[in-house]
Amino acid sequence: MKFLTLWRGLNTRIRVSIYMLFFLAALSAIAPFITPFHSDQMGTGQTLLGPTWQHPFGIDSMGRDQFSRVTEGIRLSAFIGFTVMSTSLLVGIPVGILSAYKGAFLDSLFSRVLDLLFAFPNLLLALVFVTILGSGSWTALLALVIIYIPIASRFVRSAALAEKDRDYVSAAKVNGASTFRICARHILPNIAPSLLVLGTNIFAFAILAEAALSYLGVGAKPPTPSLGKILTENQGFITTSSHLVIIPAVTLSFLVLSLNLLGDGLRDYLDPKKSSSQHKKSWIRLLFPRQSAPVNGGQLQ
Amino acid sequence: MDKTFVSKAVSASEWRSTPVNSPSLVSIRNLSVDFWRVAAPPALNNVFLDVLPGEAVGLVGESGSGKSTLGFAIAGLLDSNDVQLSGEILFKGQNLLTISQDDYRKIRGSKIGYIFQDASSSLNPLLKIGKQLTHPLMANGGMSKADAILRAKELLDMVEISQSQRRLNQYPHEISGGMKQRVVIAAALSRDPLLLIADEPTTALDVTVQAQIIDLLLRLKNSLSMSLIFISHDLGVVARVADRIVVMKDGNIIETGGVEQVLANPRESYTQLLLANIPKLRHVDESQSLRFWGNNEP
Amino acid sequence: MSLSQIALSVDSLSVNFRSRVFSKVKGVVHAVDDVSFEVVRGTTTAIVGETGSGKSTILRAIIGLVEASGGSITLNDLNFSELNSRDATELRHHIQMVFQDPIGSLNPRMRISDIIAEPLVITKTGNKTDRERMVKDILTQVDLKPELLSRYPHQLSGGQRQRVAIARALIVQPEVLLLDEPLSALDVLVQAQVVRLLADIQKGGNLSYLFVTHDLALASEIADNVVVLYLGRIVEAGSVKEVFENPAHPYTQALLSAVPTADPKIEATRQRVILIGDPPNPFDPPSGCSFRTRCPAAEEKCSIERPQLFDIISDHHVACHVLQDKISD
Repeated sequence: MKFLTLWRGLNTRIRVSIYMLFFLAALSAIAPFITPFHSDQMGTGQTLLGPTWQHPFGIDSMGRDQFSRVTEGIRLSAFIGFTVMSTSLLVGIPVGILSAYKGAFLDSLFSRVLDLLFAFPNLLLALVFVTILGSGSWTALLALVIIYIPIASRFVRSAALAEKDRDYVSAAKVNGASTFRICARHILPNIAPSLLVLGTNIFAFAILAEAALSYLGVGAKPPTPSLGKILTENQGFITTSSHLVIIPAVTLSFLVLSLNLLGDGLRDYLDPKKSSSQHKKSWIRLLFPRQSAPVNGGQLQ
Repeated sequence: MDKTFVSKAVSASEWRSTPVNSPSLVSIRNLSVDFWRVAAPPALNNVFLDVLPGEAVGLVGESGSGKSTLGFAIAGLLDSNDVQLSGEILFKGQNLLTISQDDYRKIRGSKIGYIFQDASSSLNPLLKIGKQLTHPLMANGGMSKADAILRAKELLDMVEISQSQRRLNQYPHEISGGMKQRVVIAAALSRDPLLLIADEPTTALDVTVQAQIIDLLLRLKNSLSMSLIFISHDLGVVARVADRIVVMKDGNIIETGGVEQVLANPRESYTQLLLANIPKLRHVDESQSLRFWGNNEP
Repeated sequence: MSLSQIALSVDSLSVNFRSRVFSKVKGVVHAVDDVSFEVVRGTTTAIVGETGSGKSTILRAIIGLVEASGGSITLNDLNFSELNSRDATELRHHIQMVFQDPIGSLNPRMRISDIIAEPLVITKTGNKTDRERMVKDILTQVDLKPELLSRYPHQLSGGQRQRVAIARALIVQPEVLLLDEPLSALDVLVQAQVVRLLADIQKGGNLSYLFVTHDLALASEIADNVVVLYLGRIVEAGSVKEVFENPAHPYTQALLSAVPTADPKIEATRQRVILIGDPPNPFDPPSGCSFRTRCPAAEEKCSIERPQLFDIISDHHVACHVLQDKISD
């Protein structure tokens, strides 16, 4: 019963994104039970076949069933995205907030370390890992985590910097609040909305970044079907058998879009200053919110 | 160096010289402004107002009174996507609510000037002062660069900024708050507007600077024969600036009249309440001459 | 133990800021320069000055938000020489602060009840029930309805928010309350309410106020004593009546004459003391008396030696060479 009341309170964006994600999750969960084909199985039928009842997404150049590949790809991409997002946030949030709040030496130290990591071109870093650890999905994952931690920290740090000089932080300091209390109770909740959006962005970008790595051969080993890998494998057939490219691309976009919507929706939902209902509700409004900012950005008397 | 330290304020009759029997410059009839927001009262509720040429009108009220909204409405700064406007705003006989956005923009640039409260956010921090003054002159006023620079210098002189050449090359962050506000005034006056709307122009300034800016606005109003709408929550400032005062509350005009009469004998209880509650400078005896430096006998 | 007459004593307080390493301007700003004054128990002292005078910095240094470069503060005969020491937990129970911006001083994501109770939580005062009771008590003191407890700051009006800030400051029962421009963000009528509230609260006990404002009219109405600051230094100080009736320092005279009054007759005829020139660069203040570049009576002595405060009469001090010489003649 409690769930129902919670659900009703959620705004449209969250609900839509949850439907979308649920759909993808269900699809990738049920798929192994629907299709008789394994994602690596070659020679399942005529190559470069268009969508049929047996092969809803077609068959690629190596005779592999696209449906099983794409649905497994959803799982893989989601896993990668989720891991990178959670790790970079788990490390980035404490580092960023502490760095901003404590300032001085700690800030300089962290910033220089992060700058160092930033300075490496992503792909070079990935190649370094590959050389040491050998190629594969796990290597790619590690490389991505290393790449996104500084990005997340930077972002968190600049958001936290804006908060630390606020009067309510000063008021807490005056009362002798510990650093931990101030960071956890005053700074973190107020930057949380931006962090949510950051998280969904990292999730999306990590998926796309992994695709880039796979393309260069430093990511997922074939035949692992991450969505990006499938795209790069099939890119040559874009003119002849376009379904082989369109379907994975649409799936990827669908996933990324749902994540972005979720991030936006959560941000609005968590804002105590929940804006009252909009003048006109429409699907366009969902994607292109109206900016109802007062003139001059200031107080209207 | 002449250090004129004490100045006698210009007499009342000199400041308050408005020709009677001249047609209004601005005539507002039945103006209502409603924001597209659920369950919010109208920002302006059937407002009537006249501003004569060369007159200084002070709009006073607390926050939410609608005084800034009224200023925005006259200048055409309200976004029609956000508000519903009804009524008339007649400017020199022309109803501003019926003209196109383009025409309104032209009027806004040349006939109506606007000054916002925070001078810092009115100036682009990345552009030199000179550029910010000359660009509108060249783009909208059709001046050549040389003419625009001359005019910019002239404007800086008008607002009593010395070393105009040097200032033209400076960035906003290099000058003081009071000077920034003078630059903003200069920009607003650059095309000789008939009406200047100033929205809390001195609220963010120190009290000594505020006094200077108020005097400046008065002098400019007289020398340029300009109408001035001065919006403020500060009754004291309005007492100094305005010929006529308009007291607003919750989107309505509560009381209006000559500034001396209204402040000395307010008719409405709200005005009386405001007057009773503003902090008054105690112990200082202004009617007596202040002890000048040099004549001080402790 | 009888409490001393002086609630708060500030001695030779100095706060210096270094310019940042990469900025064009190098050097030190003496934001607060050798400032000394006392707050008598149960009274209200106003610190007035314009931007750059250092008035807010003084408050922040007193309460430890900013590190002082010199001087000491004494609270109830307890000397807190290590002004920014985190161990000065005693401080929290004696001195509190109300900030300028009611919106900014309340955490937008905390409920009012949590905001007000927070000082108790941090100082580990009482258990949950005790705290709830104390919160309810303080609400009546600041004239707020209990329904507001479950709300968030943005649901309150400006005046209500400021009263919440006051409640939060008073809940630990301090003896000295610092207020940094507490009324400037409020409407006139709301200001009057808050002023009355502060006066009522003070009537009861031995609470002393030290507040900072640029509004001289306000200071004249609610303060007993006033300190006038210019570029981090005190130029004049004393009882409000004395200083405002007989302002000695030209800066004070200029300030007072610039305050607008809501009386057009006075406005038209009053004589104004105008300061020429711009406020000097805080990184490079004039030598000797920092006011001398805008003072028409400046003499040679003024550029050499910094004037020290001396007494005109018992409750009125000024820092000015020319005046000092005149009197001693």
